[in-house]
Amino acid sequence: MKLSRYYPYWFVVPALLIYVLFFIFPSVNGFYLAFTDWSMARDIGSLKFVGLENFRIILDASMGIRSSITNTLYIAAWTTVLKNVIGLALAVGLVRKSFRSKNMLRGVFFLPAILPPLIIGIIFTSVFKPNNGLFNNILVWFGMGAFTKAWLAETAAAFGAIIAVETWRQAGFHMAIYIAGLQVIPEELYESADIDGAGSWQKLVFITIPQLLPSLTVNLILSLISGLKIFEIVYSLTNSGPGGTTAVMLTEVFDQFSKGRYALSSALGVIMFMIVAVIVMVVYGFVQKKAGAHNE
Amino acid sequence: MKRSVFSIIGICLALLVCSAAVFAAGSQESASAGKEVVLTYLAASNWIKDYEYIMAEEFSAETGIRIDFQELPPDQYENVVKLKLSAREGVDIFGSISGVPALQKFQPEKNMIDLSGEPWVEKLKGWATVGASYDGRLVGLNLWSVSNNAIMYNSSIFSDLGLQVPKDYDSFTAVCDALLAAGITPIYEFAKDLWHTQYWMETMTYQETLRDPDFIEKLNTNKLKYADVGSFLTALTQLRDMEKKGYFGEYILSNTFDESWEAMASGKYGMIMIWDSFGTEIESKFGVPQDVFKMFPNPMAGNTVRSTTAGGILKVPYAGSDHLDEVLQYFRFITSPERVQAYYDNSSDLNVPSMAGITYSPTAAVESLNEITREEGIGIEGLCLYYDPMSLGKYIQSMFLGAMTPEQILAAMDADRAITARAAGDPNW
Repeated sequence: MKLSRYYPYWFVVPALLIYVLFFIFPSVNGFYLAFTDWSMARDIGSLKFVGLENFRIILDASMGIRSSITNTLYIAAWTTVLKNVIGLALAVGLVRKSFRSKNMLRGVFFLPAILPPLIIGIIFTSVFKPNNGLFNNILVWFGMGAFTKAWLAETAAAFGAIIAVETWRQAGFHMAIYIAGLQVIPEELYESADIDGAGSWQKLVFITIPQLLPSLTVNLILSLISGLKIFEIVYSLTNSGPGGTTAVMLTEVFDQFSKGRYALSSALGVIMFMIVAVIVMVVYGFVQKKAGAHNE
Repeated sequence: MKRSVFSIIGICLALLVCSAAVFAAGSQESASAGKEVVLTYLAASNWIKDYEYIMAEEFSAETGIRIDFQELPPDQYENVVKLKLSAREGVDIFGSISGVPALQKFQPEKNMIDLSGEPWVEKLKGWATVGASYDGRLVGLNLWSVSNNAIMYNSSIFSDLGLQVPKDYDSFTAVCDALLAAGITPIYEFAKDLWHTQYWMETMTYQETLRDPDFIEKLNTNKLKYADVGSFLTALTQLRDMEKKGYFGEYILSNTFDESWEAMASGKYGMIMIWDSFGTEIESKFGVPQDVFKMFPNPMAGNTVRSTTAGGILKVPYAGSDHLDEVLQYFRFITSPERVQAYYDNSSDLNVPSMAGITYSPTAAVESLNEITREEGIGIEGLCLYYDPMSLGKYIQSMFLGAMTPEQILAAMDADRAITARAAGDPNW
C-alpha cells in the first residue's frame, strides 16, 4: 500500500469554509457597503449606490477625518522603530548566559504584552494626570518640575504619551521573538569572529543582525500591523483628544459607526485595509529581498 | 479517496444535526420548564435608581414576572442597544435619554410603540410628555425629574468674598476676576469629557425659542443653520475668552467629570456648569451640605432664562418584544401614585417630579433659581434633530487649543449635521 506523505487537500475545506464565511465574505461585503448610503436609517435591503461619495467626505480636509490617516501612519512609524530598537536591545542584553536574573527580567518585560490594552490605557491616564499624576511626581522628585505638564491635553505630548505607552506595551513581546532568533545563531560564528579580533559592534552588525533577518521580518510586520491598527490605547488614553488631534483610523471608524454612518465607517475600513496591505507588502518585499541578497 | 470524503461530510452533517437537536431540545425545555416571564431591561449604569429594584421585586412577588436589569457602560450603551435591537436580541425594555434627538437614534418608527392610551399618561406633566414623544406618539415612560442645567456656585465662598450673584455676562466676568484674585479657580470645567463643555452654549438656547417660537422648527427643517444664530456665535466667543482669561484653571483639558464632586467640595473652585441636584450628590459623597450650593442661569449671550433637559431617562418598550403585555403591566404597576411617591422619597437626586400629585423637597439650587426666574424651557439638545454634543465638545477643545474659531465650529457643526441628516434620509437636506 502506498502511503502519501502529505495530508489530502480536502482537509483544508472546513477551515477554508469558516475563513470564507467569517472573513472573506464580510470583507468583500464591506467593500460593497463602502460605496452605498448605508446608515442607521436605511435597511441593508434598500441601499443605494453612491459611488465615491463616502471617500470624498473622508478625504475632505474640512471634515477632520483625513488627519486620522496621517496620525495613524505617524504613530505606526514611531512605534515600529521604537518597539524593534528597544525589543532588540533587551533581547541582546537578556540572551547572555552570564546574566543571572535574565529569566525573571524576560518575564517582567514581557508582562505588559499580556495585559489588556484598555486596562493599560486607563492606568496610564492616571499616571499622566497633571495633578498628582505619577509621571509628573517623578519629574518633580528628580528636580525637573519645570518639565511637568498636562501630558494628555497638549497635542505633541499626547502623541508622545500614546507612542510611549504602545511601545512599553509591546517591546517585551518583540524582545521574546528576537531572543528566539538570537538563540539559534550558531555560537561558532561568534567564536570565529573573536579569533578574527571583531569587537561587539562588529559582531552585532555583521553576525547578529543578518542572522536575525527572519525574526526582524516577523517583528517588523507584526509591529507595523499593530501600529496601524492601534485603537484601545488611543481610545482609553486620549479618546482622540485634545480636539480630535490624536484620532487614528480605528477611532474614526468607531466614531462614525457610533453616529450611525455605517457606509462612511465601511469606507474608512476599506482605506485602512488598503494602507495596511500596501505597507506590509512593500516592507515584507523589501526585507525578503535583503534576506535573499544576504543568503547569496 | 471518494469514500473518505463522503465519510467526513457524513460525520460533519451528523454532528450538525445532533447539535441542532440538542439546541432545539434545550429551548423547548426552557420554554416548557416553567411559565416564568423575564423582562429584560437594558440601561446604562447609573440610570436605574436603587428604589427601582425594590419596585421590581414587589412586581415579581405580585405577578411572577421577573425584571432582569442589565446595566451597560455609558460610553458603549447606545451602540450595544442599537446592535441588540437590529439583531432582535431579547430586549423588552431599554433606557433612552429624553428628547427627539436621543430617541431618533433608536429608530422609533420601527422599534417603539405608542403608549398614549395607557392609564398613567394623564398624570404626566407636559414636559415629561414632550420629552418622551416622537412624531406625535408617546414612546416612553419618564419617571425621572426634569433637570435645570445652570451655573452652580459655592455660596460660602461668595459670601466670604462679598460677591453678588451675577445678572449678566459682565457681572459674571467680574465675579470670576474677583475669585481669581482671591486665589480660587472660578470654574471647574471638565473639557476632557466631550459631552459637557457644550452646555455653556446649549444652556442659553431656550432664549432663542422665546424670541422666535419657530426656532426649533426652522432648525429641524434646515431653514436655519447654526452659523446663522448670532447668540451661538456670541456664546462660543465668550467661552473662548473665559478660557483665555484663565477662569477654568490650568487643566481644563485634563479635568474629568468623576473628579467634579471633590473639586467643588474642596472649595478650590467657585462655580460649575451642572444640573440642579448636583449639590445633593456632593453632600452624599463629601458631606458638604447641599444648601451651600446655589444656582443662577447661564448669563452668556444675554441669557436670563433657565434651560432644562427634555426630562430624565425614559423606559422604552421595544416593539419587537414577545412580552409587550407584561411590559405594560409593569409600567402600570410602577406608576401607581404611592409607588411614584416612594420612588421620589427614596431618590435624593431627583427634583421636580414628572407626574402630577407627587411632592418633593426642592434643593437649595432649585430654590435659588426660582428666586431669580421661573421662565424655563427645553434647550436644543432635547429638541434639535442631529444635534451632536460630542462633536461640539471636540470642536470646543480645538478652539481652546487655538485650532478652530467660533465661526469654524458652527460651520463644522452644520456640515456634520448635513451628513447625519442625509444618512438618515431626511428630505430637508
